Amino acid sequence: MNQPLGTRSLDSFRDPIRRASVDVSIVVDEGAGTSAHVGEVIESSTAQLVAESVRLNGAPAFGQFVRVETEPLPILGVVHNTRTQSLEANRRPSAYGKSEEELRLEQPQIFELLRTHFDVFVLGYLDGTHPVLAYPPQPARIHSFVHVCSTEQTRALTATEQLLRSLLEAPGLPTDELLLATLSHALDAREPALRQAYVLRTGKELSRLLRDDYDRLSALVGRLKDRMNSKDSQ
Amino acid sequence: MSVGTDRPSQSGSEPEPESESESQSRSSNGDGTGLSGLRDPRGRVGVITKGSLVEGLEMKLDAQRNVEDMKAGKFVVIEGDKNDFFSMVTDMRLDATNGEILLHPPDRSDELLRQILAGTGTYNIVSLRPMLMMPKSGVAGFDDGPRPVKAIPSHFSVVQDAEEEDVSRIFGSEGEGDGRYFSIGSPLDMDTPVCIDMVRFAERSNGIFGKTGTGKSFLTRLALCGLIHYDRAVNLIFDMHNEYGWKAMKETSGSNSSFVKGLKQLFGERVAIFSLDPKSTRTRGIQPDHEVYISYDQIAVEDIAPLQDELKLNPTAVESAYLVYAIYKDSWLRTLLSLEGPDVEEFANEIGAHPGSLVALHRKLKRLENFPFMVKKGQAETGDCVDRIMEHLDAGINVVLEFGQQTSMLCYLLVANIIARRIHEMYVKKSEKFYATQKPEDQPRQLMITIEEAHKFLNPSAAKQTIFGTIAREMRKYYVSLLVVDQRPSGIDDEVLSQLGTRITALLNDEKDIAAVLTGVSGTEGLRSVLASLDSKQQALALGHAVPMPVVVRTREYGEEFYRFLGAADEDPDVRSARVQKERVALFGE
Amino acid sequence: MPGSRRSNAPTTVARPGSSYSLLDLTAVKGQVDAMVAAQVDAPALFEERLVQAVDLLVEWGQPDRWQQLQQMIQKARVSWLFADFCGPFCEGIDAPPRPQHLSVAATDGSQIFPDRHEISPCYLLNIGYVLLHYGSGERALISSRPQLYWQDQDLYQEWGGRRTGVSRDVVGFRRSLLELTELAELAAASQAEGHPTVALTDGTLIMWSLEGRAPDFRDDCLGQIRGAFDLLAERRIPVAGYISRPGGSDLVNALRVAMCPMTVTQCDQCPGLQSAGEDLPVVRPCDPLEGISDGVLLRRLLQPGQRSAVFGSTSQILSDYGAHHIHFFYVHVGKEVARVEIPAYVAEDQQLLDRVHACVIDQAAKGQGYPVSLAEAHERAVVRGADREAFYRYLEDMFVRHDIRARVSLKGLRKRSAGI
Repeated sequence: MNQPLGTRSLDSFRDPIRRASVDVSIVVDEGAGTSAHVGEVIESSTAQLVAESVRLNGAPAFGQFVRVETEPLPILGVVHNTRTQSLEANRRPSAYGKSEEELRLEQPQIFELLRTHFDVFVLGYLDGTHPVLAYPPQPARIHSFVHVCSTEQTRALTATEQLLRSLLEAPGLPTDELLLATLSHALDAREPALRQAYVLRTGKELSRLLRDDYDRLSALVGRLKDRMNSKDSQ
Repeated sequence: MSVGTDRPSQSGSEPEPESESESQSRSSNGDGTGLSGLRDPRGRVGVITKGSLVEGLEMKLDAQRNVEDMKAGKFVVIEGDKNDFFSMVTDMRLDATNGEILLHPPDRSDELLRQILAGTGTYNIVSLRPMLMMPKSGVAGFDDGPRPVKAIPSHFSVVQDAEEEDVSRIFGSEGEGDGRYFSIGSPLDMDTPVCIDMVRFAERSNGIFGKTGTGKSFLTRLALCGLIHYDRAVNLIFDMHNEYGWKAMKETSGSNSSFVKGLKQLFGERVAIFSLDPKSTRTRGIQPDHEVYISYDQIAVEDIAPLQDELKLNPTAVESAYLVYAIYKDSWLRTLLSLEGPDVEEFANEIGAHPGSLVALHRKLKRLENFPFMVKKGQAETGDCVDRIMEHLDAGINVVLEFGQQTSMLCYLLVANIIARRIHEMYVKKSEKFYATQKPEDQPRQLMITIEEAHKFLNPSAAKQTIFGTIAREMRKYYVSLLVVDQRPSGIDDEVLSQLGTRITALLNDEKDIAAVLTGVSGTEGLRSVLASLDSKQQALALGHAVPMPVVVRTREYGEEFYRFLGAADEDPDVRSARVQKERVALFGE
Repeated sequence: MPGSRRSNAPTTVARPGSSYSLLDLTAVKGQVDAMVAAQVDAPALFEERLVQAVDLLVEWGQPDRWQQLQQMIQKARVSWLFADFCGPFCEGIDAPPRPQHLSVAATDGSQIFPDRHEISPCYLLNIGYVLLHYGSGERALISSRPQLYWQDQDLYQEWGGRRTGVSRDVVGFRRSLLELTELAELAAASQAEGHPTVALTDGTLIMWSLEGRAPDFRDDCLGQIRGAFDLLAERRIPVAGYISRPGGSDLVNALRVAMCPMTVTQCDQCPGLQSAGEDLPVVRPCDPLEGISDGVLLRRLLQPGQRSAVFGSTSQILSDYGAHHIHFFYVHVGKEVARVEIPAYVAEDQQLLDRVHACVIDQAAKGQGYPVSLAEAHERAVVRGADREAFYRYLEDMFVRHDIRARVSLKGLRKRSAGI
């Protein structure tokens, strides 16, 4: 406040954490490079972590595999829940009856008061380029950045049966939906020619894991088949 | 990280496509040790999951193999740690891990779910019966060859399709062993030949069985060809239906029935056709080498005894015959038959026989006079036919005795018994002489007598009385053995059955018949289902002395190729006549 | 309740069989009944008076009458606050359209008062900043900045030669001042980046309670106030103070003068006083206007969206505001009538005035009756109990870490964990 009056910049008023004035878009990084992150860890435990997405409504897709750059080794997980809500518990959004474009023009403050958070179920960690599907020795550190996994990494994660087992055994997950979504991403990461073989192999692994619940297996397989068919027709 | 061949394999999981190098590593060593080297991984069938030595083993079929390929009798190899186990498929079963799957089976159109369930939720279990085990190369005992199964492979041992080397290693191959192995066909779904050890085949009596119309004659012909071609035994064949000598009709579907060559056509001068009905023989297009006549004096009481059932004779009838014999010796029959009407009774009283039974005997034996080949003594132009037969046999010429139109059972039984008894007598003498002198030129030739409708000769009651029962029991003591051909093996005496060294069986349905065939051979549990599932044509199960392990074969084609193999294809006439000349000289001198 | 009808004497005797309560509601029932009865009749009476008042307003607000009232007021010798008229005031003025591109800067403040029972006598001011851009889709700026006051000159004041701990009032002043100066800086920064900006603050721009304060303090404050207004005036950024549910009656007081029969209005000489005797209530000629506030009055006059004429404030402290004499107008924002205070440079600049008018209407509409920018600024500034606790915890932690001897009073301890 010792500056002469009227010489302070607008930046000096801005909240340093949210100083970015340009919306950061989500980029699926093809390398393990330093492309833009999509979220920042705000809660962390061995099995779960919660991240705030950089851009409002910009969380990674449900079932998307993500990589948290943290010490000592990057942690791998899958997005299983995304929610957008107001920052403060006592303030709730209300209906305006306007399109988002209109709201940006006439009620710009609401976008500052909402946050998108996404929950990540921890699957394992990255040892070099090789994913290890076991809980990491230490949870991710708060404020670590979350990136979307590359196609390579997605393929590697979905190559083993352990993924299915981890998802089926974890409590509190929307398991069947998550299985379907992760498998869909797994298919996207593979050449069209290899998809059929992958579906078959995964289907057999599921059949073993779900041996006592045939009903569930056949429902899942049916949905998976529909998903594949709609992909093929695209 | 790419998903490739470095992923550890899990049981039942689909293997990734192989690289080139893997498929080329299938070794095939020329010396036949390729078995215990690397097997072609494409031949993998499944893994062993359960089982015991006594009850057999169970295998879980790999998901990508179709259960329809697993046929009863198929030959597979279980790769244990130290041994390979050569086994036969005996049963197949479908199963599911969860009853729910069977309650709500996937739609036929739901291909994905069916494929996913295959091997995980639904699976196929195949029962295997190990027949032989052989140590792998590098393990002690490798060179001893296959031996009976004393151990079982461990859990999850891999099961493979059998390969050519396996078959030839176990069964031998033609060309090996000095003319010892004769191919009778090939295993199911394979093309390699399965061979019978002809030496061992000739050592014992053997049986050829199968329902009517399943091709017993073909099997018999094959066996006989083998014996003749490799000269392992000289054969005397009682050819009741005129099938073996010259041409025979081939039962083919459709209208064009063709003919197959008989033994004489194939082996020429090494086969002689004796005919009881020369006219019939000539009608069929060949001149018999000998016409057979039997004089009454040649018939002994022992020859009548086996006819009891056929003639419906009273037991006392035979005793009466003996009483006649006691007085008249060789001419007893002639004497008896020369009597007429009431003389017989009188005669009975004379000799102290029961009149009623003698009358019955007389009446029944009168039938013999109807046979055209029965002659009075001395009327046979060619001399004693039995002596003639014996001469041929001595010379190594096989004899086919055709019955022409004399196809009655009485005739067959009578003639077969008479001739066989006499031949056997001669062989006994010869053998004893050989045992005394030990000179190689005195050693009698191994004789194999082929009889059909064997249950008539060898049923439990007749077996004790006929010469055939005796021959069967004596085994090779006197160098005579039987080749029994029958469609009702359950009618044959158990003791005789147990003496049959090798059995070659076509399809049998009757439980009793199946049990009979399997009598007296060890390690046949599980073969019942195999026997009952044989094709009605061109498939047979061979088991016993001449094969190391029971094996199902697709019988060898009896056609041009076979003829060529025997060297009896239609060959250059000059070559043929030269050969014939040579044989004639060898047999009869200049 | 048998036998207990004593309407005027409250009893506190516990009745056998009932639970003991500290307030005897049954005894007060009769009094409540009387009150309710009176209230039922009140509206109709009030309505009559209100209509009267509106007529009065319209009558005296005419273009040819208002100056007369102005003169009467100037001559009057009374102690109330009057509105100072600048022109006719009989009609409402429609809102002009809001410029398509407009930015609204707003600040609000909150504090943690110094608490001698706590570990440290320092105090904290928290200012919330809001900058909303309309018509461009640009991201809003919403942030806050705390300021800690711990130095001696902040914590103690000289008053009559004695040094005492700074009072809550003073902290309140400092806060209001900080709100204004920071608002000016924020608006200036926004304008500098090319956004046409309006600055809004919550509450009055007139710091009337500075009167009677220590001269040094007073001068310092006023200096800062003038500095802020100077800056804004120089950059031509309009600033306005928004008062919701205004209780003021500047205008109504002026109408009292209109109603007064005296030539020169002098309340201690009121005719009503003279006619009153003992036991008789005083009835003044201007009593009909009793209980009517400016807001209530103008609610009748103004349509939603309209504003009243601009009036000048006659608050004493304004003499020290220099050129920035504070004016005000009332505006119907739909849910209520609010009072908007503006400095002279806005009142005299039709363009700026219109801009403020349009902005306030728009802001209130967006905020469901209260300007959204002020609401957000308030939310951002407010320091809740939990935050306060966390602040003192943090202080303790730091003190302990650095081995500073500190004492928390027993009262402070007790506040933290009140046992039974």
